Amino acid sequence: MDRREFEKCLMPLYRDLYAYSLAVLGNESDACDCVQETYTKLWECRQRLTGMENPQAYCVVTARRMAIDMLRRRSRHCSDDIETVERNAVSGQTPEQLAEAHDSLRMVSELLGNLPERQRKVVVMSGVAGFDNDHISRAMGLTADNVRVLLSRGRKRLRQLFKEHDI
Amino acid sequence: MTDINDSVRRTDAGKVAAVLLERYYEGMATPEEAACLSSMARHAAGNPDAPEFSNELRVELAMYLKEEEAFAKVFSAMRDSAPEGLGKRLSEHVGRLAARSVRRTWLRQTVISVSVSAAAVAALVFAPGIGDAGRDQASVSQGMLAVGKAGLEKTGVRQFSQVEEDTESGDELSASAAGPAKRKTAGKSVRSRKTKVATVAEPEEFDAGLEAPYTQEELMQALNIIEDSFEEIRGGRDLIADISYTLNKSYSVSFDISEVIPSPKDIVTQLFSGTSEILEKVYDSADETEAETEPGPDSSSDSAGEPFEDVALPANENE
Repeated sequence: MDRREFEKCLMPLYRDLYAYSLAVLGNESDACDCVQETYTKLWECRQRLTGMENPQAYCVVTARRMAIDMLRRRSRHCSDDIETVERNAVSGQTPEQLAEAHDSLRMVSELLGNLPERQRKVVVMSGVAGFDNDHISRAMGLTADNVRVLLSRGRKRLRQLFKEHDI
Repeated sequence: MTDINDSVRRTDAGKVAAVLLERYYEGMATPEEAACLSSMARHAAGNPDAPEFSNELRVELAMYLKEEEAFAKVFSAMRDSAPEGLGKRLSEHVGRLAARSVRRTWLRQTVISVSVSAAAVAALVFAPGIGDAGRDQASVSQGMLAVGKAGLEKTGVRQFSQVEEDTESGDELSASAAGPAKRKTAGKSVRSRKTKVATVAEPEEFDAGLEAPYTQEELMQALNIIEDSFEEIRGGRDLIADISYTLNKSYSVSFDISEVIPSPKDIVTQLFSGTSEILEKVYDSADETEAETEPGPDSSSDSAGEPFEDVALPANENE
């Protein structure tokens, strides 16, 4: 796989990889670094990608693992994930759509912001990035039972908030 | 009957949805179970009259669907919140990686090319010397044997019947004496040639009552062979050893020729101006080596094998 084919096949995925990385790392610059490292890793194993049926899925898995490794390495907290999302919110839409999406997103972010930090991290990683409990426990350095409890409490709390705000 | 089965299946679907929902809020649902639950929630939302879901379950499934949509919005927002310059930055990064890999490939190919070239040069430099050593040894030896044979036949002292048996023909010997001989013996093995030479040219045979075994003409013929061989073999290191071997010893003369001869260029330069000096050096070195090493089984006399020592080598210099 040469450079052109690599860019043509994998470069359009960078936004998805960025979203996964941001969901895990919660930091814009860290997410950018993570995506760059992911592409470095993908370039190193580009020959393996040639024969794959679905290289995009491989890229997503690689990005998740890279994000988890980076999170464990840097031991940072995703404290500003929602703020970053809200600040950079959607582009390429009409002002009405943008405002509606912004309001909806702001509402969701406010609800998520009401959760305790660890619960919010676990819920975002599970709901937004699609991580299973094992990945979350590895990323956060928690046991599987701790993750399950945090996830259960966070989801129940979020459901209650949804009902209260009649969303 | 069919209505009963559908009712059971619908009831089971409701139960499954309830169990999955419970596992989800307990934090135990796997991504596959969550995906199944999403499918059921969409089905329930799209079919408000479906009997398999109770009203209470429908509310819970609708709430789950809202959460999922909220997460999808968050993910979409995260996706769209990628910095504007990230794509360009990644493209440049991939370009750097590609250029680096190209440089590495080029460097690897260069190293391999240089290594192969060096190996090829080394093979060209050393392999012909090794290969020609035996060949030239045989050719020069045979040439010298022809000369020696002629000389000895004149004196009637030595018989070279074994030489004639070992060599292919007498004509070849005379032909090899007249010109470059290594071409004619190229097909023979080095071991057989050495054996023949060792069988024939025993030192004491040359020393057996011969005060002046060779005429000046024969010696000139031998020196012509040497000169021809010098021209054929650049460097001539092996040939010098062969000369010493042929002229003086029937057994191997082992010495470091590099200590005796400065360089092949000097050898060629001195060949026509000071051949006698080179030969004297070779003789001296051979004598030293002979004194250090154990002599051959038939060479009991150390004074044996200097048939050309008293010959007027300056005749060659006069040329």
